[in-house]
Amino acid sequence: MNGERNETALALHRKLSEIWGTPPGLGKLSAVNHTAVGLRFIVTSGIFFAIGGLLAMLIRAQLATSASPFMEEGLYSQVFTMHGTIMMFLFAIPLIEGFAIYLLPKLLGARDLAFPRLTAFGYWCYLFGGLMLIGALAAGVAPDAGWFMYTPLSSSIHSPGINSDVWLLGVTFVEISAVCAAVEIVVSILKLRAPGMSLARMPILAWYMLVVAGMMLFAFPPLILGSILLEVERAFGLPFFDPERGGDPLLWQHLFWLFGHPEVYIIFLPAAGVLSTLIPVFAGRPLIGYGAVVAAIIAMAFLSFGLWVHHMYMVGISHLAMAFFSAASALVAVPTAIQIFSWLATLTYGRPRFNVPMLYVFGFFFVFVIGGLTGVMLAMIPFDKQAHDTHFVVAHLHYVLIGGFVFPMLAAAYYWMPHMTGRFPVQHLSRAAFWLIFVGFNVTFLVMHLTGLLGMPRRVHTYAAEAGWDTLNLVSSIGGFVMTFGFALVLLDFVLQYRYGRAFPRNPWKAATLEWAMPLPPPVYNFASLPSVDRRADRIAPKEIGAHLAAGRGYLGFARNGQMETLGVSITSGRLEQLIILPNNTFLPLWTALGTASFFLAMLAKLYWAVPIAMLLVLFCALGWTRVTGSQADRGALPVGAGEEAPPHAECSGAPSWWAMVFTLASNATLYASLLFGGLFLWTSAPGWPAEEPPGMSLSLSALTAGMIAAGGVMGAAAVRRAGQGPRALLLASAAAHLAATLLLGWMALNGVPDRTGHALSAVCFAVLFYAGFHTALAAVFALYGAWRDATGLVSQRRNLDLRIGRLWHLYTAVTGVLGVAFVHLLIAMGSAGGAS
Amino acid sequence: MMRKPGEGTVLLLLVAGFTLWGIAFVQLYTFQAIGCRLGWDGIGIAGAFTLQRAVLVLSFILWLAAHLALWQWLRGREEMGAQEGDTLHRAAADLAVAAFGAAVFCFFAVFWLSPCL
Repeated sequence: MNGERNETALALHRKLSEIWGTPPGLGKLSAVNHTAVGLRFIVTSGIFFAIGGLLAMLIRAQLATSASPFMEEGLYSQVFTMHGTIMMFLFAIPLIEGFAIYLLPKLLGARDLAFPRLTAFGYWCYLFGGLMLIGALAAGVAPDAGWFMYTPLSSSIHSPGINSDVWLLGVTFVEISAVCAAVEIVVSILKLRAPGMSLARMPILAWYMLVVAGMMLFAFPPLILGSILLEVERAFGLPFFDPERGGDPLLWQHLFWLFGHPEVYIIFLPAAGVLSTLIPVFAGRPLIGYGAVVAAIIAMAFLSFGLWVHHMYMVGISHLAMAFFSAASALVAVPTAIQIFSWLATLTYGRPRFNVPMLYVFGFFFVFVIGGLTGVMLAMIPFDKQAHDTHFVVAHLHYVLIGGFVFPMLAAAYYWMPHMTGRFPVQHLSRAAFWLIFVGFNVTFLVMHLTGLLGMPRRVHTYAAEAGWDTLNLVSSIGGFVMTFGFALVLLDFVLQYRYGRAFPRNPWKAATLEWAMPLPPPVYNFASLPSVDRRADRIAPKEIGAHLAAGRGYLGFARNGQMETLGVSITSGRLEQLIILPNNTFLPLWTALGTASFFLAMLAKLYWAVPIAMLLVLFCALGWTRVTGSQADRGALPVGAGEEAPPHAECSGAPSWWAMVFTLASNATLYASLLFGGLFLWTSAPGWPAEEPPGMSLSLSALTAGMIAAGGVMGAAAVRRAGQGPRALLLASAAAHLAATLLLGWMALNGVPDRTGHALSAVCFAVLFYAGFHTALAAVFALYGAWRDATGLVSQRRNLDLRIGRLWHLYTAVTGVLGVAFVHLLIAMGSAGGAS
Repeated sequence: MMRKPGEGTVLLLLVAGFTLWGIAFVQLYTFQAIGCRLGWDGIGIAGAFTLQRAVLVLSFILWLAAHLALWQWLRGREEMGAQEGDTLHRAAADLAVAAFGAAVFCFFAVFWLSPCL
């Protein structure tokens, strides 16, 4: 009987491997599987970490003594700018993405993420954007205005070379990857779980990643907008940040830190999720205060968006506004403390096993608590004014980021390495590596608090011997090199584990989460059949359930038509809802990313004539993605195993792609709100207002434009009701209205705002109209695409997903377009009337 | 084909308290900036109590009332909450209380701190 079962399991394994497997050779570049792409993210971020680390060593070599002739000032600026940029944008965020991409489907009981091709596209954007930045470093034209890219230092008048352009374009390119990953993660967590896994049963790490991905959706758009505006100012002279023409450098600081502070929590929370996962495993008991921790991370996410101005205390903000931000900065310690007490309580009431991952957990506690305390100190305005822009701040941020991110992620690496490699650690070097990192880190940065308190400013390439900072700096530098040896030893330890670790088939840590209920290293399809979850998903028995699933006795324990299938559930209850059919391996993400790269390279090389061609290329590639989606006939409910049936996702109202559009538009709306905020901010605060020659807009033309935008949106949205009964006429009319609106908006932007470089008022009006025009043009594409899908028989009353996704875009375009036209008139009225400035 | 009622409602309840806090934050910060731009701080209502101060204090009180109303409503839902969602309904109510506390702590200074200096 057992032999028969094994044979069945083996046959199933072969079939699923054939369907889900990655092709050999160059075909590997077509892989969209989450395990392959997740590991690529992780390894690539590790390489960037090594480069960023080497730059840190150069910084420490330069600062070791006051008489160091190691680097001249300009080169030093490039090195410290790239160190920060690499660590934040090319290491920390992508590592989180890779970690989530690799792990989430396995934790949630799914075979892949919701949009495998988007995952792969995100990876290529990350890689190409990162290579742009590293290439500039190798060519000696790396960004050199600090990783905050503050204006006016980064403006063309003070940074005339391409250094700042490299940052603005390269980082924006990488951020596309982050936003893609955020949409992917949110939708996958909400929709692609094992049946029965309600929200309240999710493993705690999934909660952390859900909150973090949600934060990414809202935190990245302000920086993307800021980068676009600054690049437009540098390339075309529109003065958003130039105080002599109605702009304001503080607008950049607001947009940057609206991203920058949540970013700290975006980095910290996944690491905290790791701790909330590991500590219960090694304490041998479930996490204490699961509900309180969920509440704490949600509170933390919101509070983190209310503290960005604490980076700007010195710029001259009113006492009341500073009090808002100072209070929120102090308050964020409360949800952090809830998590820390939850971990301590879990350890106290459990029977802790002390292992290498736990060493890093204790490293985290020691380092992060110090970083948190100095953070509370800096949140207090009087202290911040003393320590502002000194090495005290540098020490604080490293305690928070290395303590709150690197130590937990090293714990995660040691914990999940057996999962990735199928081998258990040798661990002869692990403890030595930990102590070198721990001691080296504290020697470097504990001392740096004192250097800062003695007044040493950050970002200086040298200092006077009389300042008396030599000894402290030398100690910091020695500590830095000790820490580097520690990281080198960790790398060697991983190589040894991969090469010589003993094979371990399943669950070496006696964990109780689903990712251990599979053979190690994991097969490409994760689970031979999908589980049903009847309890909280950190209390399962991987050994028993693993054997059950491997024998194909769960959901989808078969292969059907060579399709890559997984299951979708309702968001809250986890009830089985849909059969999700995923696309196979394809080179399209790579081609699309190359098209996107050509856009950014054309911008960098100032070949502006090539930019529209690159955009069309991207659109062409993106449309190519739809060739394999859709069906010519309604299929209705299909068997999914365990005696149950579910309809294909294209026939469900809550299909993942519908939700993806919802979250994409939410992110897009944040960018738009930031743009409108920018206009209002300049009106309230920038010098040089009111404008002497404001733009003139015809009211009747504006009304016609707004009417056309609304008509296009309404007709496009109404087409859904006609699905299956001939929606084409409405869609074509919608496309015509959108195209007319695009032309009208173009006319308004070019003729109503003739002098776009003269004053920020004109520049903002132009940007708002451009935004609206870009959206109406894309809305026309959506309408035409819907009509084409209908003409080719891919739309019916049941199969109306394409039209429903389009409806979301149409409605968004209508609302933002009409609002934009009204805003332009309002801003012109306010910005040309008398005022205090 | 039919949308199931309430899909994702628990998520909305979980974020309701701090969403309210976030909107209050944006409104108070925006009105502080707009008021300074339009000179509301120089328009006295009663002694040193200016139009700017009146707008901010009134807004603050209304936001606190909204937070309390939300908390009451969530407590009602918590008591009716299905077994499955108990943990999350309780967390939503706790978050509403926390958001109320955060609003008091963050915005209380509207009573005395200078809004435009």
